[in-house]
Amino acid sequence: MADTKAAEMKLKVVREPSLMTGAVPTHNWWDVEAIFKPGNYCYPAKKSIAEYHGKNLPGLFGEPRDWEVESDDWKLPENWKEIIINGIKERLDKFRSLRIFMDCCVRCGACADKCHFFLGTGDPKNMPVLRAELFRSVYRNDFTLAGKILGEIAGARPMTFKVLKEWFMYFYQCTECRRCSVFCPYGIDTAEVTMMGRELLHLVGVNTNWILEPAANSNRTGNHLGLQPHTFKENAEFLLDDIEEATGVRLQNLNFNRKGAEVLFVIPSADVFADPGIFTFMGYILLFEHIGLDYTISTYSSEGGNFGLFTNNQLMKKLNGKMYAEAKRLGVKWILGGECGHMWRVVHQYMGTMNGPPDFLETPRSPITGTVFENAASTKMVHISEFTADLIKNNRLKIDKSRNDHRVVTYHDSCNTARGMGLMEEPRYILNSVCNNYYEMPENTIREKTFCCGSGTGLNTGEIMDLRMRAGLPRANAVKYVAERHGVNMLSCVCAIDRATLLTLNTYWNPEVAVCGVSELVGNALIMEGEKKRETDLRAEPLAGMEG
Amino acid sequence: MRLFEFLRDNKGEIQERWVNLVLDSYSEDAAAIFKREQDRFANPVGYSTRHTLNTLYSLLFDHDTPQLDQLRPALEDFIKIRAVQTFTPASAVAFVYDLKGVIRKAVGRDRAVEADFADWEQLYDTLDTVALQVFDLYMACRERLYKTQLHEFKSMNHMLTQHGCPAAGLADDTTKLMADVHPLNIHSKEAR
Repeated sequence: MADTKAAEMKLKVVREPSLMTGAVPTHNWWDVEAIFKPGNYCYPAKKSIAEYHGKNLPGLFGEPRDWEVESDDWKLPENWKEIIINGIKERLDKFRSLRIFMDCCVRCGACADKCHFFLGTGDPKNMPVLRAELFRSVYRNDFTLAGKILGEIAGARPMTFKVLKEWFMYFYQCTECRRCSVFCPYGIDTAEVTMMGRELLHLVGVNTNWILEPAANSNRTGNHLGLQPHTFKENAEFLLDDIEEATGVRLQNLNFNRKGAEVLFVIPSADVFADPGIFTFMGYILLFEHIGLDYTISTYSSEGGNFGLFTNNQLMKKLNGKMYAEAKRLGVKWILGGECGHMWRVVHQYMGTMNGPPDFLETPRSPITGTVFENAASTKMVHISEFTADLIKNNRLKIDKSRNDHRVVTYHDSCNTARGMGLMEEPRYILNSVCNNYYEMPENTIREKTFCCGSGTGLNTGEIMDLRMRAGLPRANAVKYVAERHGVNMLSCVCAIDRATLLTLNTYWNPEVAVCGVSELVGNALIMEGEKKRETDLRAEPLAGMEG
Repeated sequence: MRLFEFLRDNKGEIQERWVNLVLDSYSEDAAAIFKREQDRFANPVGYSTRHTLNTLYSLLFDHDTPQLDQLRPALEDFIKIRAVQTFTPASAVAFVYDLKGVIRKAVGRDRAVEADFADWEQLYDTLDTVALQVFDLYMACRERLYKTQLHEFKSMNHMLTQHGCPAAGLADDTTKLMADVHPLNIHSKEAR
């Protein structure tokens, strides 16, 4: 009978490990093996790339080798378990937060249904509490008395290859977005548990190429693509033609590596080559020209995004250090940061203690308004949205809001800027100042409760497209709501990875909604001195009323 | 009571059983949460499942003839979700066949129902028609997913998302790659 067939098909799904996760819900969670199949894992790093990192930071990236994720032989060193356990011990001693996070979870379940990976996949190991439990169970086994004596009864289990596979699967199904932490009554930062898990995996050479190769490029040339200075500069300068075409104004102030400038401007490198980031970049430099800012861009610290954050704290520190090194070399007074996500997480949470204090810099002060950014007194680094909002607040910008009338805009709080640094009001203030049509997404999907794009922390790679679409479902679902309710056709954000991944997410879920940076909309609205009659926006698309 | 009258009178109970059965296709822990949480933004899968199946049931049985022309818009968002989750194609669309079992059991519990062969044949034919449309929708969603992947690659964002991976293939020498694409591919109007 037909209904019997349906039941059989479903049993097949339930009884056999699922394609994506290997999860079989009828068993104890740790009896369920992680099974890797094409589409559910990121490709491992090339041997040459692992060698490169091993030379720069010996011992932190394991033995360089070619290995296959689907194989049962990952070519691990003989003493890999010892390396992991010693690695845990070292980190427990070094990071008090980790020991607290290991001990204080009472498994209340407040975080369980807050993760976008769980909501999209339905895989219980994507509940933040259970993902952390993958780590805690090993911690209990080797580092707690109860675990040593009672073993499984106390929730302890030894480190095995099966556990290692689980770690690789689920610590790479977490974008370290920290939404779960907002709901944790103890404030456990599950993202930092994931970070520690990834550090430990790197120690035994278990890694992904899409993280390590951009990190190697960032280390070598300053940006994740490995663009050399002249290419970076040419790409940026090419955009001047497009700006001139749209506005009739040839910008004069774009410059690179200029010693003695007041401000060093650091951007995510995608803003000089990738659509739609290039339009955000046009917005930045239009703004600087509009106010006559004395700035420069470094072709050596040409990447805000810190791919070290996805590997270990040592590489994160090294890549972050480039910003201060360039600020010192160029003799600037302070640093202005563009619309980047992970850069700001690192700046706000770690830079001050990792590479600070940068006493050679001054507490940032806007040369236009005189506002002193006391909030940046430690890092000496101001976000472009803080800077722009201050200019608008002090009435220093000439703005024609109607130039964004062809856009019905909403705003996606990027995880790293919203939860990582508390930047929530400034972008909204800007958007309301430069757009006539602005609508918020539902309350439980924005600000500190924002849903991740689903592809952060190095998960924005094509080989896991299905997974990215699942993980991005909660965000796409909220975008769809405002698109249907208010006719929203533009999703704005302040993160380069968002600009790339939300575009892809929307192509599947909400094809009628485009993606832009906040500064692009600022650039559209700015009334430039000597400009021509504006008929198109920076994308060369007609303004409202100019469609004919 | 005739079969289709029974389906209208017992709509709420049958819908509830059907929704729960379909949500049971997820893991036990997930199913519990997907059934419990009512907020559509906190629980997109649970909400979409409930909303879509209830709508589908109404389209099929609220009127004397099934409103088959309205199936596609009613089902599209739900199928989009099933199409990117870990289900096999068969189990992604099996929810339609689940309704047969739910109805058969509900009828079996109620001795007052008079359902002859023609009634069952009509019901099963209707659901088979729905299943075929659902499979078309499922395939359309998978094709959209592949196009999404292709679009990402063509739009240069693969430089952000796939660079250096085997699938990129051509990206070993990034500087050379940038020289190949720069400046025409990324900045020309033709490329937009």
